Amino acid sequence: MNYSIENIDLSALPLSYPNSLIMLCRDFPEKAVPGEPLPILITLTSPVNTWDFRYDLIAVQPTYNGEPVPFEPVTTPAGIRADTGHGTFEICFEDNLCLRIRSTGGLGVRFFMKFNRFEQFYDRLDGSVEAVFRPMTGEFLFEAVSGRQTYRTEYLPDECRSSDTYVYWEPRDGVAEGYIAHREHNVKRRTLTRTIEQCFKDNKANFEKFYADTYKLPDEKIRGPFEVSVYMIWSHLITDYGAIKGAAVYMGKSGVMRYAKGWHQAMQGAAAWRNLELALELIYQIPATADEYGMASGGISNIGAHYRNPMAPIHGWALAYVVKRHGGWDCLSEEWARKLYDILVFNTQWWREFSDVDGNGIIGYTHSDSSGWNDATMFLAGVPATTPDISAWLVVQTEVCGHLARRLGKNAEADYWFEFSDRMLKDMIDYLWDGEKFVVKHDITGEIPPSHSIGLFQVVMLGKRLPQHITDKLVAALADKSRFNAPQGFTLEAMDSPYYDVRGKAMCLGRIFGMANFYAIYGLYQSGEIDFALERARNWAEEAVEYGPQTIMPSPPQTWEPMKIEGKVFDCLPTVYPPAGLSSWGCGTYLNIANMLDDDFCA
Amino acid sequence: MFGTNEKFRLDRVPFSTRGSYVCIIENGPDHGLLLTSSHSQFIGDGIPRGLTLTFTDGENELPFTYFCEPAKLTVTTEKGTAEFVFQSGGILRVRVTGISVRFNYETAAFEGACYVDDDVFQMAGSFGKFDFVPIVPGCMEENSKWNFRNAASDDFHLSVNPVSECGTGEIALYHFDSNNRPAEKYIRFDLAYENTKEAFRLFCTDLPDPAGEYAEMAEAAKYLLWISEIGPDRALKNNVFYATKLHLIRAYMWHQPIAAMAFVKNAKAAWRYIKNVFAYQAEDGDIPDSINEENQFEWVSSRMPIYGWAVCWILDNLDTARLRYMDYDDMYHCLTRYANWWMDSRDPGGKGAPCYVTGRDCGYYDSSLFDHGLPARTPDLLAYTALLFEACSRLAALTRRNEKAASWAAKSQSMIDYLVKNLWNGEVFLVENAVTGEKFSSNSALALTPVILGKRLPADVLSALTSGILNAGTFKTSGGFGSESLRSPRYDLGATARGRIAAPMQLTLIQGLKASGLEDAARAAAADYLAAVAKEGFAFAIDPTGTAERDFTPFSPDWPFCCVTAAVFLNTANDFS
Repeated sequence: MNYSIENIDLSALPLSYPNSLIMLCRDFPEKAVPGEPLPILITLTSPVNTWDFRYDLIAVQPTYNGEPVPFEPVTTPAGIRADTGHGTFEICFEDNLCLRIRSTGGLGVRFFMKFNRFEQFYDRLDGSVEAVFRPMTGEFLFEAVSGRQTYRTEYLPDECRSSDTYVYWEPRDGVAEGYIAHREHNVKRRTLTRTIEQCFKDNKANFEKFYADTYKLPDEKIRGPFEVSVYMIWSHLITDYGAIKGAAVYMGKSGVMRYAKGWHQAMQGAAAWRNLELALELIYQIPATADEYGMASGGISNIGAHYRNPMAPIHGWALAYVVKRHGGWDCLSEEWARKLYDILVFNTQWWREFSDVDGNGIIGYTHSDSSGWNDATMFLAGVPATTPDISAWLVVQTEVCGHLARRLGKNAEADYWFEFSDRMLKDMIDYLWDGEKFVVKHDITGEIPPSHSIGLFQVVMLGKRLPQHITDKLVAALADKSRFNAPQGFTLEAMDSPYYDVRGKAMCLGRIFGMANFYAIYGLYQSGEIDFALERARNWAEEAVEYGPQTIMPSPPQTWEPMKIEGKVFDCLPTVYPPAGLSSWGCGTYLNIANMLDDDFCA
Repeated sequence: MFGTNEKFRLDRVPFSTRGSYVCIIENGPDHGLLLTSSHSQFIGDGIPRGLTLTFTDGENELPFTYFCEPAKLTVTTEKGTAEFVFQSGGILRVRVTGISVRFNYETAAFEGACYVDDDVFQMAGSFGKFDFVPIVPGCMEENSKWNFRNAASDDFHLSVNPVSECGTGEIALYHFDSNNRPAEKYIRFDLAYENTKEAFRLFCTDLPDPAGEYAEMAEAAKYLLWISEIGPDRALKNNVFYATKLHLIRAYMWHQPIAAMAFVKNAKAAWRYIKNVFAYQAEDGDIPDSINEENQFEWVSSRMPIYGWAVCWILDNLDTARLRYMDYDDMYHCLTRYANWWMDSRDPGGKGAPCYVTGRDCGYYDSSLFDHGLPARTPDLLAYTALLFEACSRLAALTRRNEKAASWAAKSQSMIDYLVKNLWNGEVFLVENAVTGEKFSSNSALALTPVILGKRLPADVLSALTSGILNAGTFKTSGGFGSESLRSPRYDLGATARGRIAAPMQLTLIQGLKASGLEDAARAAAADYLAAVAKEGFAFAIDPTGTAERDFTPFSPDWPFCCVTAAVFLNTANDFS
């Protein structure tokens, strides 16, 4: 697989554009109809109907004398170009709501659409035609500005939809050119003022500016996956769109998670630390969705936020990480410091009031998904459960509240939060450290499950805040090649755990997960294990040259039969992957790990 | 009012309350009770899952009967009772005497349940959250167990048991989206009941009180409207009527003016329900097809511009003494923007008359009106548009905009002229394909809709049109007007609008006959329809033969909980019973 922005593989990742819900991809080669070239597929990322995503609303391809011709697209962040032997075929974004398409050398363009019930194609009788898709997808307007636009369609009254529909752009003077404009409703015709060449140039410049402002390639060897990660984040960035106020990075524009998930945003903020304003916007996004009680949402899309459970409070950690790289808390404007302080305090108060079920002052989880590790053995004894990771995140978050209060001149409040953080750390150690390892305790029964989850070792993120004897044991476990330290990365469940299973569809029973690897690598670095941490970071970064900046890297083969688990089982990992399914989740993690390889990285 | 073995059961009308997402229905072949949450998850979902309710003596499940009144559901067994009362939209009070009620839930992935506080058992489902909080200490027990591989609890049950000292048990069941802080004190169960009863009584004061044979059904209709009213909440900026509470869990905008027309005793209330729609009006002047509390607004079909007709109907039929200048002025701005949108965006080819561009635009997606393609200029659309322009004119006059009033009146007349000159063939109204310009006759009853224009139509046209409506063997059935001519080759009772008796269509045709001076014919048609509803429930579209087995699956036109049908029933019963 080619992971490079010089030639993006459209079956692995989409062509998209900042603040756009439009995405383009190409199906897997095996899906090709024999004798037919694979078209480019255009669709709209929609957070609704999560498990039934249509990535192929509009198929487009070049034609010659009315027949599709083979083409090999070369896709860059600027757009798609393909030579066909007859002429070139090009697609690029005009802006976030409009695509430009052109074919030259006598090539035409053919669009194909299949409609579901209540979807419709119609002639607007003004030179444009419109395709209407639902649910909540909207209108695509087609207009040829050079060449002749024709179509073939029929209304099927019994099925309440249009038939399979073709739109053709026939060339005039060798050129067929036009645009597809989208709006959810009331799409309007466009007056185009730039040439398509200028659009390509502007898109390239836009991407390059974002790249230069936000990231720095640490090593030429990893240029491919690094730049793919940058591109994925640039093209998945949604700003002030619908319910999203400020900035958020969608997890994916294809696949099942077509929204911005909670903790993911903090990770993206940390990765984008060089671009302070963007980093702060990303970190602030999810805490700012707090409900009236202070609970941050589990994620947000342009439609709205969802509140089944919040994700782990890693936003304080991310803020501390960014601020450190800008020389300390004075890098924050007073306005940012106030906004962040208010919201982090509000979020923290929610955890204290609503997630400390046994009232012992040590906060737990009432839903496993809040930890991010939804099917981890940390939750073998059930919920509510007090786990070490939630305390670790809150130790940092309350410490950050202290720093922010100090920045704002609220010294009494700062002292309160620093003391709170210290006490929470001490209480957590007293309650959950058994002398050898951290454990999980059920809040009501006190049961300690036999967990071998890496979540118990995530506390290593606290680095020097922990007593050395604890750090030593955490580091030893992570370094143990029979436990978490696989050649490909750290496993989510220890390899010697009876629950270890990378054959099935579980997520947290041993898969090698980007986010957990960053936590472990960064924690090792913080704990003084710099060489080990950097070796693991480099290993991860270079693995991605072959596999791409994946959320989950391949596991070592499991030669033994996993334990059979009775009862209902949720397959976290999908059976069928749609094209262009690369997630920006893995990309943000990748950039964080890769950033550690930079010469100016500091603990 | 309802009750087991009586005419109206919980398989027809859920037990719920205004502003609540919580419902109890009778469900499935075993007629068990199901407590559901009617949140809109994603467009197209079926009946929400829920907690089944069983009643036990502590060991054995007991057979039961129930009796439902607007403010209370009482379940009776031979060993005791269980009572359910809404204290508010978000709090259901449950009291047991002598027996236990068991809430049973089959979980899906990520649906967890556990104690989140000493006395608070919380269930986080895919449809929001429930907190179970005991009011009588020690009356609650549950058996939930987390299943880590499903990231969810295993199937569980929670029981509310009578406590030996008092022989009763009582809980508060909270429903919410994100978080809840349970009350420290509770009003008495019986006071909660009285409060809710009074809230319903007050709601009903704006609705008609038909006497005689339909009085009982009217109570059910009022109740259905009451429980269908949701908001303001999250994306809902105000209160709107959801189509049903068990599927199509959203507010269809074109249903709102029809619901408003049921509030015959309070023009101000009716006006407000219409006005509420325009809180969602877009910059360009259009309004969404449908909305819900989850901000899942659907825009792609415009639906018919029914608002002008509804406004004119209120001005002509209700006591408008309480309407003020501001009411007229607000509505004027909304309707003129909306009217302009139709002409700016839905008149392909610029002929001076708008088109439907999708089959759903007319409200009856499977009507034969579109057999000859889209976009189409149809008689119903042009009639509604003429009345929309007339409403703009009348509102302009009421707000002393005399020139505008004249201009809108002229537009209205032009629309009627277009309708008559271009679509009337001397016998019937035709449908014009906007692309080809060809015109076709249609067997859909939608082609009869211009009867709402009444005497605005030329007398010969009106006479021929009303004859067509009332002719035996075409649209008239024993249960009202069918949506497709009985002689049509496209007649199909499997469709919603190709023969079935669709509720909103009855309102337009019956009111149209009345506006045309055919009071007796209107009264006769109304009587037929009211009797059909009394027999079949508040289905959106009734099978006129009454012979087929009813289909209660989601999206079936037989589904008997439709709020809009209840409104049509009330309006019709008020005018004609």
